[in-house]
Amino acid sequence: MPDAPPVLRITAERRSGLGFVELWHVRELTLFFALREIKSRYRQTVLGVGWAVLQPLMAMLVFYVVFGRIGKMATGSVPYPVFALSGLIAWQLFSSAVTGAGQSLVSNQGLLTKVYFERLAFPVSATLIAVVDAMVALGLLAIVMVWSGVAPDPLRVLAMPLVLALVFALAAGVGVWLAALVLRFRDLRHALPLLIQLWMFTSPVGYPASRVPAEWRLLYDLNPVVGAIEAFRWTVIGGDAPPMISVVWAAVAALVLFTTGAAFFQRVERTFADIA
Amino acid sequence: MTAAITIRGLGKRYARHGHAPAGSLNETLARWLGRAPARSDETFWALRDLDIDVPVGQVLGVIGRNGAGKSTLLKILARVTAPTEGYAEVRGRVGSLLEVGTGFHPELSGRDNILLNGLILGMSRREVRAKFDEIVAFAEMDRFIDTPVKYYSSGMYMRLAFAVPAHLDADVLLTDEVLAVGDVQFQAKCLGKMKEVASGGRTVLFVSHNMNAVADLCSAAVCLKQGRIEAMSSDVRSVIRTAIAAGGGDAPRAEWRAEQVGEFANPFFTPTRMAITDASGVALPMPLARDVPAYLWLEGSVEREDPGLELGFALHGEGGELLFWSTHTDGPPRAWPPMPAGRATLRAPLPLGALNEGRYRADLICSLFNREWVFEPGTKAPTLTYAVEGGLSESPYWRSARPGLMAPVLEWERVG
Repeated sequence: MPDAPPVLRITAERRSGLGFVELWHVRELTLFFALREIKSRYRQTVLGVGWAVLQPLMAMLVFYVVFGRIGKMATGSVPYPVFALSGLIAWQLFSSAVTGAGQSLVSNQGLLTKVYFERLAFPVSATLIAVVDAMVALGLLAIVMVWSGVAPDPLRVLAMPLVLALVFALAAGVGVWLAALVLRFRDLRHALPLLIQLWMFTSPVGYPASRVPAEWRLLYDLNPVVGAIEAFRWTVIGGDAPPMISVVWAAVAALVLFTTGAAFFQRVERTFADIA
Repeated sequence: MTAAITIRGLGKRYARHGHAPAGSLNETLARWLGRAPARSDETFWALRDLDIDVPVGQVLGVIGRNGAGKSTLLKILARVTAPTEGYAEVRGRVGSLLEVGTGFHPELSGRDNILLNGLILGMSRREVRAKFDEIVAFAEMDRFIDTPVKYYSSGMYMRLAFAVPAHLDADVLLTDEVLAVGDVQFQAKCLGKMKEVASGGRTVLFVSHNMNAVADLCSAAVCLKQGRIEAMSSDVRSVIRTAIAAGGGDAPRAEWRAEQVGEFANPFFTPTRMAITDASGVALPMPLARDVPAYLWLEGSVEREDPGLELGFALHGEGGELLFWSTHTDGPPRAWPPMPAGRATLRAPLPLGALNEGRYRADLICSLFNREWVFEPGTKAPTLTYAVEGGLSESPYWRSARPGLMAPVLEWERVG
């Protein structure tokens, strides 16, 4: 007599938990979704994976002209391009992960209405794609640094994965929230690029956080991305370490956003197929 | 006998407009956040009070007309959608096959798509790898396995798409109309595989319009009608007879009118009336004689001028088989009826001369060419049924219905 097979009980009540265990069960699928996107995105484009380099490069040039040349932004001993690129890499990891996750349910409606697996796999795999792009962009950063003669401190570089993980966690938290919200409120889909743009200018991407007037600083630091970007920049080019409190705040925000996001996601998850 | 599936008091309620309103912020915010129950006239039960026991090894056919709740039942068991009340228990590993090729990506190779599809269906990477050669052999395509699937012929694509789920080791298999696609040969192959699965002691829930396939494959059948059980028995033929009688019992609804303002409302084309009529739009009495000209008449309002707007209908035969699609842009562009915003009335002659006696169903279809469906075939859309009887031919030798979907009168001549 074989073991009694598992019994699946399907009821009207939503299931308990945050879905993390279920997400672990579909980890292979989640990874492969990301791989599918990466593989297919650059197929049949002339530049291929070069786009992952070109996007931060172009943004860096724009920032260089606007902030560095016209705005004459002072960035201490560090050349402005290196300064801007280090901010941009962290920011683009965050923004493309958030955008991708936000759209992930809407753009996978076909799957959503035809087959069931843990739905968290959609936003999470979308954030993973952004990580791959960030890795490619890090290569660009290394080249630009060598070219401008800025050497990173090896000890600080060791902290880089931790800081990137922090940026990733923040993005995943916001992304999970947005994924569920965008599916229900399609208006958000159009508002999202605008929101991201505003968010970028209220984060220290093209300028150092120290340039923010003191009376605004407290409000400014409520943006958890501030601490994460400053910390990332510090691992790359050194200078003053960002205040510990802002990094801790970013970590706390990431944790809170992700758990509440997952809880909200679970709450509305059962209606996804009906509103998709 | 152990039950593989136990269903008790299962019900599913939908909002009447289904997914139609795309949910703009101010519309839904209040309802959603306030979690106020939707008014009862805005909802309907797609499924209600269902009690079913499926013993291990049974192949249960689920039949019934469109909208009877068959797909909803399957979607609940596949966990795609949640029930509103009641519960279902499924013992063992569930494999659901609600469409073939779920998640297939055109840019990826056959190899990658096999893995992806397998993972989506709940296999592990190791399992897919172990079954890989078997899958490729079944799909007969080892030569093209590293070619992106967008270069596949539709036949190849379908073979591959079916091959993956066919090799899923599930205790309980849920399938929906999978056999309605592909050419005859492919269908025969799928049926063969389904039989193999069924005789292998696995439990199968098989939703289909194809009564022959149900009679052939199933050891029991349940007929749903308006979300409730109409008949259920291991005497499959009797259930099929009930289903056909239920379908034939009510008169064909050869005219459809929007029941209330805003029904099927969408940003592109809102239909208000669809009917089988004479040349001036007056509904014809049923059944239609074949020698009387009849038109498919369509009224509605074009909400927004769009160069890609395509209106048409899908015609189905008695067994639910698709006969053809027709749209108003089928002719040369200069002959297309113009579609400016505003009220529009269209008609198209029905090719009665080619169709045999029988009952037909016409579903409205509407799309923005190559961009999106407004009314996608197989989803909720205005629909009507009509019957053709008599007037087949002027020949004294052709008095009664012949077998076949078509019954054209061809012009025979002697040329030598």
